[in-house]
Amino acid sequence: MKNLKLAAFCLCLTFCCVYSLAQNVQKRSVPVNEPDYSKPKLFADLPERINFDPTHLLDLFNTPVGQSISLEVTSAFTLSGLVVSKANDQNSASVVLRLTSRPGARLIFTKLTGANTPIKYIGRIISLTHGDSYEINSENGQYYFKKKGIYELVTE
Amino acid sequence: MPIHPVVKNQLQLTLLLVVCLGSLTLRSQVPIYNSYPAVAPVIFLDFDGHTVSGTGWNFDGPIYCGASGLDSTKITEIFNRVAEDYRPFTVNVTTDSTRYWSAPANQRTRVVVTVTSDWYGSAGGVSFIGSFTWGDNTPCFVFSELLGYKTKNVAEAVSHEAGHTLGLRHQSTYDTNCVLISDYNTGVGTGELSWAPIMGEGYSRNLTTWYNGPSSLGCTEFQNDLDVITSAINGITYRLDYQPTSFGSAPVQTFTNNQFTASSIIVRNTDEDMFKFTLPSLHSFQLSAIPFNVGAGNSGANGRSTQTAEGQPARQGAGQNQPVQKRRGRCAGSACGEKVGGRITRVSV
Repeated sequence: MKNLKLAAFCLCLTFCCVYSLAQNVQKRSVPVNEPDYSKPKLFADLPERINFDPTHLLDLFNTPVGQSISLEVTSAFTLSGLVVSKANDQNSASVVLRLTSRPGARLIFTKLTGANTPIKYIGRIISLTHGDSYEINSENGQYYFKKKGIYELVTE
Repeated sequence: MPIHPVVKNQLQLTLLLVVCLGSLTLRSQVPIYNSYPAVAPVIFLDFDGHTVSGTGWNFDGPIYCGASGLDSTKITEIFNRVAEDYRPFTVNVTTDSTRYWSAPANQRTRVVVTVTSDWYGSAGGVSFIGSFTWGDNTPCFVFSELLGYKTKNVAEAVSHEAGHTLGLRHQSTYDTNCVLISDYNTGVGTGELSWAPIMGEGYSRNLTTWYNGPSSLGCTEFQNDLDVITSAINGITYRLDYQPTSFGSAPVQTFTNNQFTASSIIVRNTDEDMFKFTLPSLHSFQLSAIPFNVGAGNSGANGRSTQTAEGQPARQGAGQNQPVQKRRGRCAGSACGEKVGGRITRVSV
């Protein structure tokens, strides 16, 4: 009798698991969102291009998740915030800094370390609630933040 | 030898548990598929959940994405639909994570098909434009629950978001004064004869294709999707043609029971595939062109291919290319297939 109860319990458990995973096929409209090109600007006070030395950002990789850090990119451009996420693999190391100096924005900074290629840095400063962003580019060895519209980077 | 009742009961219980666990495990398995395993670039369709860290999506820490909630039958159809969209190109659409990890870091993208969307909001999916080449494992997302777990919807969103990672923007519509009507070109037509660009919005259209039309950058900023996908930075080209384009080198078809079957892939919208045969005596010859059927039937918005041999949707807006333009090849003495502009279609003769 005890085993019968257990068997019934197992069957009920299986049914509940399968049922909970069952697909919701109810009719619903597919969400399609038009971009909001009137979002406020977060970097209106900053230039289109900001040259910088990426070595000034390397302390990010030594900062653990949950710890705050302040980085002087240039004398007029400081990035302060909390490290919220990191990732590493054999080709890259990435860190995400939630900015307190620009509320709503995150800096994503990545060091690419290919086996037969020189070290390269990429990254972005984005806020999905704002209309502008920055992307890290390089030209003749000079790294710089280049201002971009958010929909030039992120899209649905 | 008699089995002690306690042992027997324990064995029965263990067997029952194994069956229960087995059924749940089988349900969650993702079938492994590769559309073009010989090439390096990879679009990885990730259906079984993924934890995202250290990317531009991680606004507040790791994102724990649940599995897609799709069974293996639906996953198979979604894979087939997406693989067909990318069939003209040297890119491997796969459901195998090992293919993703063995691909060059700057020639791969992971499409996370997941029920988990609350971290972002209500959308079919979201991407970073050009992340295919970034080399930092930034994925894009397709939200299966918000798409109603429908194979057509999920497949459209996967091809669309993967397209963004390859550098594509939206195909948009503008009025005659160049004022934006919609960031998404929603196409034309109804039912079997409906069409939309993959980089527009084609959830309710039967056929979707790559397109050459005004992009979200402006009404005069035309985007040729094929050119963007095959741009040098992506390391993707058109795949080799399957059949000769000259009649002289066309493969000779032999009749069995008064018929033969030949098939090919239309690689480019200028492709011509030649076949030749000899009629043994004066007979009539009937040619049946059978486009490749991707989905489980071609009813309404779930179908995709059969109408390509039958209809031609009207041109849309200021688009340069007719998306589904039919053009008959030279069939005198040889059998030819239908051609579909900007769209890959298998044709059997």
